[in-house]
Amino acid sequence: MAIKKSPLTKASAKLKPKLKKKTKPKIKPTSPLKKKPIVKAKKATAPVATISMQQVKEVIGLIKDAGHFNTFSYKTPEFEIEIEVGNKRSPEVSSSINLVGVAQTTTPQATLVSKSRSQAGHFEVLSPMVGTFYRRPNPTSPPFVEIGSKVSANTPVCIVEVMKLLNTIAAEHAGTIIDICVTDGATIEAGQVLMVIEL
Amino acid sequence: MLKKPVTQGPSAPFQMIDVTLRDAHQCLWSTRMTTAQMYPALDNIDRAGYGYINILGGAVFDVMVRFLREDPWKRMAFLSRELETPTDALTRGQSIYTFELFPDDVVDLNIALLAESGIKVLTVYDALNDNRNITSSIVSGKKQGMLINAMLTYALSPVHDDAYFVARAKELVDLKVDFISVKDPTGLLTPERGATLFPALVAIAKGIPLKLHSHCQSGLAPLVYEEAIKAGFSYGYVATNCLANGASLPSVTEVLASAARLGRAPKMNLSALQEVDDYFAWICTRDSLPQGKKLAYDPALYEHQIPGGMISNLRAQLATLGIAHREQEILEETAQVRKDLGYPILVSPFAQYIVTQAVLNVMQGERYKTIPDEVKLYLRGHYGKLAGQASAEVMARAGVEYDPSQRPGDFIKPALSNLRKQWGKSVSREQLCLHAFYPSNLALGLHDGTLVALKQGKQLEPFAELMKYLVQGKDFSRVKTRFGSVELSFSY
Repeated sequence: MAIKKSPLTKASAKLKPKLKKKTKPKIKPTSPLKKKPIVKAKKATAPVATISMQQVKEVIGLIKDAGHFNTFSYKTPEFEIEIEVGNKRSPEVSSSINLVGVAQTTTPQATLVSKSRSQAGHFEVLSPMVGTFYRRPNPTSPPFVEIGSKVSANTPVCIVEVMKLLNTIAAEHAGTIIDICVTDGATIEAGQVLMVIEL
Repeated sequence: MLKKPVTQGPSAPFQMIDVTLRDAHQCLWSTRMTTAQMYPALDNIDRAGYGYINILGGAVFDVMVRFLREDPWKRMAFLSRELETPTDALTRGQSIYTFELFPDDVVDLNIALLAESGIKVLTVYDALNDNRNITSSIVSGKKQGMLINAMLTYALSPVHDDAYFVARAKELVDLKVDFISVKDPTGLLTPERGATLFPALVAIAKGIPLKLHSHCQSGLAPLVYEEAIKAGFSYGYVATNCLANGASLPSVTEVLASAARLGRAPKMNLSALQEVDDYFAWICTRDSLPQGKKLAYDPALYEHQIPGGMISNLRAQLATLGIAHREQEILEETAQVRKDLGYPILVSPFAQYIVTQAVLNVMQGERYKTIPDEVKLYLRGHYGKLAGQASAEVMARAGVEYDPSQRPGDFIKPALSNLRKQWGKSVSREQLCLHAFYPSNLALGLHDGTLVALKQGKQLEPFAELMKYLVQGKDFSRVKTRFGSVELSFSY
C-alpha cells in the first residue's frame, strides 16, 4: 500500500453527479462497469457479529488516509474488508464524461452564427447577449411578429432570456419584418442577427 | 393553545433555533437534504433543547418540487409530527416560495396548509422590506393561530441606516407580530453595527422578542451574535457544527458558549447536540457532501455584497456564457447597478436582477442598453417600495414611472376558483396549491419522501452504511468484505 497522498477519490467523485443520494448501486445492464454484488451467506449458525458506526468511520478514515493505494485490507475476527484499485478502470467512463464536457463547451462555437451583414435600407435586430430566443410573450400566445409584420421603433419583436431573466427586445426602427433568422427557443450568441427589418 | 414566549430581557436565556434542516443545507448543499437524510437525526434534534426548529424556507419548497421531486406537504407534516419542539416555516410573503407575486387567496391557502401540517411559527419577510407584502400572510397566520415572526432584511447602503430599520420595525410592532427577526442573508452585519442597531430595535420592539438570523460569509457572525445577546435579543438561529459556518449560520455550540459567557445560556443537551453533529458529519462522508468551513474575514464582500451561494452560481453562469474572465468587472458593475436601482438588497430575486443587469451592462459596453423586464417591473414599484431612489438615467432608459401607491398583492387577481375549475372538485387543497405555484409537469408526480425515510428507518445500520459509502463510485475495482456470516463482494 503506497501511502502517497493523491486526490484519487476526489477525482473519481468528480465523475459522478454530486448531491445525488444513492442507496443502491445503479446497475446499467449494458455497462461494462456493472457492479456485481455477490452475496454469499455462510452458515446461519455463525455468531451474531456487531460493528459500530464508530468502527465504520475508523475504517473509512483509514481508507481515506491511505490515499493512492493498490490494495487495502482490514481484518478483525468479526469483520474484514479488502479493496483493490489495481485493475485499471475501464477508460469509457472518464472519456465518455469528458466528451460530454467537451461537447458542451464547443457547441456554441460550432453553431453557425449569422453575424451582422447589414445592407442599406435594412436594420438588423441583434441579440444583446448569449441567451435563449423566444418569439412569443408566453408559450400559449401567438408570436410577437411574423414576416411581413409592420413595426414601429418600440414594437416588441421577441424575448431574449439571459441568466433566467426575460428581456423584451424592441424593433428600434420602424419598418417591415423581412426575415426571422432564429427558431423559437433556440440558443443564441451575443451579436447574432435575430430579425431583419426593411426600413 | 400555544404558549406565548415570555423569555426575554438581558438575563433570560438566549434560546437557539435550529436551521440544520433548512438554511444549513440550503447554503452548503444547494438545498438538497432529503427527508430520509433528516429522519435519523430528528430524535436528537428534538432532545437538544432548541426553542424552535426551522424546517421550511422558499428554496426548500422549490428545490423539493423541482429537483428532489419530493412532496413538500408530506415532509412538513412528517417533521412536525416527529418533532415535539415547535416547528417554524418561512415564506417570502406575497411571493410565498418563489419570486413572482401571488394573489391573497393563494397566500391564505398556503398558510392554512402549513398550519394544518403542524407548523407553529410562520416566519415571513419581504426582500424589499415593504411590509405591505407580508400583511396578507400575517392576517392568514393569525387566523390559523400561528405565532408570527416577521423579518427585517438587513443590507448595507447609505439608505439602510438604523433609522430605516427602526421605522420598518415600528411597522411590525403596529402589525402586532409575535417576534421580530433581523435577517442578514449575506452576513454583512458587523459587531460595531450590531452595537447601535440592536439596542435601537430592542427599544422600538417594546417587549416583542427579537431573533437574529445571520450568515457567516464575512466570518464575523459569531461576534455579531454576541452583540445580540448583550443587547437583549431572545433567540438566535444556528446550525449543527459540521453544517455551520461558511455561507451557513453560526454553530450552535459556539453561540451557546457565547451565551454562557454572557450569563444567558439556555439549558441544552450537549450529548444530543453531539449526536446530531456526528450523524450529519457521517452523511457528509457517506454521500460526499460538503461540511461548513470557517471563512476568513473578506472586505470585498462589503463592496459587492453578493451572497456566498450566489457567487458560486454566478461563476458557473459566467463560465457557461464564456465570460468568466470578466468577473471582476461584473462585480464592480454590480455595485454601480445597485446604486442606480436605489439600493435593492442583494437577496433573491433582486440579487439575480442586479447581477444580470451588470452582466448586460458590461457585455454590451453601454449601461442599460438592454434592461430585463423584471428590472423594469421593479423600477415601476411593481414588487414594492424602493429603499432609495433609482437614478434618472435608469428611469429614462427603462421608460417607466415609479408608482408604489398600490400594494403589490392588489395587482394580482384571485386564482383559486379558476384552478378549482381546471383541476376539479376532487383534487386535494395541497395539490391545488402546487398547481398555483408550478406548471403541471412539476406540480404532478411528486413522490412521498417520508415513505423512503420510514423504509430506511431511523437507526443507522453500520454495515449497510459502510456499503452505501463503498458503492458510491469510489475508484475501486474490486471490494470484498465479510461481516459475521455475510460476505459481500463486487467488482467493476
